[in-house]
Amino acid sequence: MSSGELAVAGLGIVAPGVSGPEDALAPAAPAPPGWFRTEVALPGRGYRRLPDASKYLLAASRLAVGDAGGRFAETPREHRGAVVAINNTGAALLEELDRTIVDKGAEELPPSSTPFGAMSSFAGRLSMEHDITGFNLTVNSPLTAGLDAIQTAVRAVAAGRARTVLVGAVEEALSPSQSSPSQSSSAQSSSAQSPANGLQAGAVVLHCEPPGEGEARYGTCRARGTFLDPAAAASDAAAVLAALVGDDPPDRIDAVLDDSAVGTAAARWLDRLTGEHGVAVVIVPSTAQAGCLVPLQRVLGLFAQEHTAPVRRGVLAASDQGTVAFAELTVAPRGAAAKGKEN
Amino acid sequence: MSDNQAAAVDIDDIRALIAEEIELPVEEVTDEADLAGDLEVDSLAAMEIAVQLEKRYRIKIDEEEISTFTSLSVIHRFIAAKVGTG
Repeated sequence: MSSGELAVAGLGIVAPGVSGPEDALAPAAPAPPGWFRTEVALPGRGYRRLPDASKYLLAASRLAVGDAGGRFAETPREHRGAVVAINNTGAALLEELDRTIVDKGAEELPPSSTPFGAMSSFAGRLSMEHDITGFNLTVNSPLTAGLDAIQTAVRAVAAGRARTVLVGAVEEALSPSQSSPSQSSSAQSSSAQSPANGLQAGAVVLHCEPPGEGEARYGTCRARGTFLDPAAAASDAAAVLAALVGDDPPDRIDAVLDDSAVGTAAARWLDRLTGEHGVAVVIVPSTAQAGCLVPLQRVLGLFAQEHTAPVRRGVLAASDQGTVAFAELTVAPRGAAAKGKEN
Repeated sequence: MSDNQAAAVDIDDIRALIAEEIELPVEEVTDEADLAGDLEVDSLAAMEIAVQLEKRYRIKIDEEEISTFTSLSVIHRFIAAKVGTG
């Protein structure tokens, strides 16, 4: 049985302007053309014609699996699982496939990318890459899917369905016609921590194992989800969020919030949390078209920080549609700082 | 199929097309190399090859015909026959 947590043994991230997990909390950068180079991130055959989002996910997974030091390969294939979060991931591709059908006919659809019209294909290709046969799930909840993926993986591990799980989130930028004008313009002048709105691209993968069995090199995490009715957000926020976060909040909460009724209510509640419990709250501005990458990227970035002693961290994400999720992290002592303390 | 028909379709053009599709140097795509066994061409890659052959030679290739594509020489004969009868 599991304690309702996952041990995190490996981290992988592929995103514009991010060179590794230690950069994951840096302000989001726009994706310049050519920012991702397939031949560098995915050397070998069979990747070139895949949709870019699939490549991001495969590249991030390679990094996470490699970071865990070959532990994935030691796990029998039937005990390997994957949970992948997506929101906008296949939207631009679907539009492109539609345009091909309309303009040229269905016979002109490219065989390699057409299967990704089914959104579960991103996780499916990941499973093919790593010979995962335990289980394979795709999570789509707006904004919170990455944190919901943690919760799903915790349950699967607790049920004994896997001993190693890749928990990931992947996004691809929306097309110009899909991204609302206000989203695009604000993306151009993105503030310090703007998630670049509907233009997010990249992938994050955590290599997770059951706590106790697994190596919690980076620490452990758990997640919970709830729903905050947008029509009653202001009045319901305190009760809903208090139940979600619990009465012993972590020292720091990174909150991915937009300016919707739900986001505004959550921000106000977090203000009170700061006053009452001294919790440091880092607001990460979001938008209605933000996608699910940023919340899981915050989780990865917090795990990548070095500490001399265990620290507790949280990531809260709330969408304008009312999906709310909270990930609770215990970050393990690690790195030069921790070694210095041992000595 | 006559020799003339086969000669009208350059086997090296097909070799280059296949090499491009499966991301291998052209010299590895020998006439008799087994596409699946030697060159690790899976069903999806075979379909990509077929799509490119259709565009290049303006022919129609049925799905069941793709499964007969076992080597470059087989494909060459197939294309030559299609072009000759097309």
